[in-house]
Amino acid sequence: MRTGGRIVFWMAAAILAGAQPGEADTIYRTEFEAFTVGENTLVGTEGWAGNSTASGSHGIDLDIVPGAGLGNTAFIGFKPPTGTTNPVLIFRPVNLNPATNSEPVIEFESFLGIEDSSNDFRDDFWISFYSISGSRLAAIRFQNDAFTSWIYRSDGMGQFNTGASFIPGELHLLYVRLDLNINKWSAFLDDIPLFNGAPFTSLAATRTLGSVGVDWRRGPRPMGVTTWGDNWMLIADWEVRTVPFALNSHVRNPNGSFTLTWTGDPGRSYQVQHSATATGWLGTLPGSTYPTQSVLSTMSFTNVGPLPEKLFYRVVRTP
Amino acid sequence: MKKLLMCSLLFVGAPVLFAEEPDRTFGDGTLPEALRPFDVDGNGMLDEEERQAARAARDEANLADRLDRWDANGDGVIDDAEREIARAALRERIIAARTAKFGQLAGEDGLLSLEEFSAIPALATRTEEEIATMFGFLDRDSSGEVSLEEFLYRLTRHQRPPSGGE
Repeated sequence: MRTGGRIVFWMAAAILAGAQPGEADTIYRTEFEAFTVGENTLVGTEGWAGNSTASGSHGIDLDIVPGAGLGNTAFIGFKPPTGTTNPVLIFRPVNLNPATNSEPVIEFESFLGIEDSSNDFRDDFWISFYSISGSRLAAIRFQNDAFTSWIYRSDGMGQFNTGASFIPGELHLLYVRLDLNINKWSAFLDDIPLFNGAPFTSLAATRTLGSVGVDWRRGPRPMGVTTWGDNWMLIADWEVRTVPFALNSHVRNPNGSFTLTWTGDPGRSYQVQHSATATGWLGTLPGSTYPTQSVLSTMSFTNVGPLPEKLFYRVVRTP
Repeated sequence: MKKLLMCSLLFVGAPVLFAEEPDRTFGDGTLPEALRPFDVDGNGMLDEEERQAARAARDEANLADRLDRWDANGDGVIDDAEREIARAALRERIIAARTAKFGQLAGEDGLLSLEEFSAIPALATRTEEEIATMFGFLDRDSSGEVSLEEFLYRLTRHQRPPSGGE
């Protein structure tokens, strides 16, 4: 329910059995099972696009991770693009605009891993987030260097070392949550925070999510050397989803108190309100006001009572 | 990883011709850490049921679980200290698992031969060429045997301080 820039989620304590936490809406999800195994078969399938279509620098593998049972997975890298192409791009449009067709909070999740080069050259792989107009708003850069494997955050203008690293040859789960309205985002690798509540983009472009993709960027080279590394990135189980504001849980505790939990997004404030009749809402319960959050976190409120037989609650998110 | 597949074509009265055909493999033959909790029977690979369980667990995981996992003081926020603990714990867990796996594979001499490497169950469906390629990638000094240090190389190479660069 939208009320003048505020979002509220309310529920009645008396109808617990019928109330369900809100679920994310999947915008695009693939396990690449419908793709053809081989080189150059990613771009052109299920709406995937890219700038290198004939060199073998992307495609689909079958059971490339021994024993993992992943089936089809996608790859980018290994075989260099033709000509002067740099970076190699692959991306999947989702065309989400909070002003017209989308919730502002969006999640992205994928398994990914980088297999190191066997030659003397190494490159970078970026998970890039583009606006509908095609601007790269932000990115997460995986720097595959000979002795380091640092992960950077890009806001479209500058880059910031997250202090975290990936493990070449290891499969990681990347989870990203971004808020287009507030311009904040957070990312986790194997549930470990890479950054939390960081600025999403410093570009002046309209904040939409046109597509999410991967860049293969040639690493630093001596003057005149344009050789690519034969390193490559594996991606599997790629998903983009929107997240409506909703409670995570609500429970009447054994001692008679009542607890609500929800996800607090950075840059937003919250207030728990209550009402005996679902009209005339009050925000007077002790500890029911939560100032602007700095990081993504799990939030909870417990009404310790004494509680009446029936009481309605709602959480108001601002803005 | 690049494999040189030497394919020979024999023709009567003609010399042997070799074509270079690249191929790729991922990882070191052991199950990725992210999937290891679902290897219920401990055979080093996921069968279809275990894979389905992994998918279901991922679908059911919510953000609260993700945030709570490393929130040692329970304040709903993962601070810098908790984040460093999480990173270190994950890496140590992987190294410990890989070290134990190496001990099982390499035997008493502490060196992994190609024959021993080929015995990894997850590689059962791999060709000899693919297995040799993976082994060659681990055998950094080309000695014909892989030491524990070589087996763990890719897990530990990150441990240089950040080079700065923003």
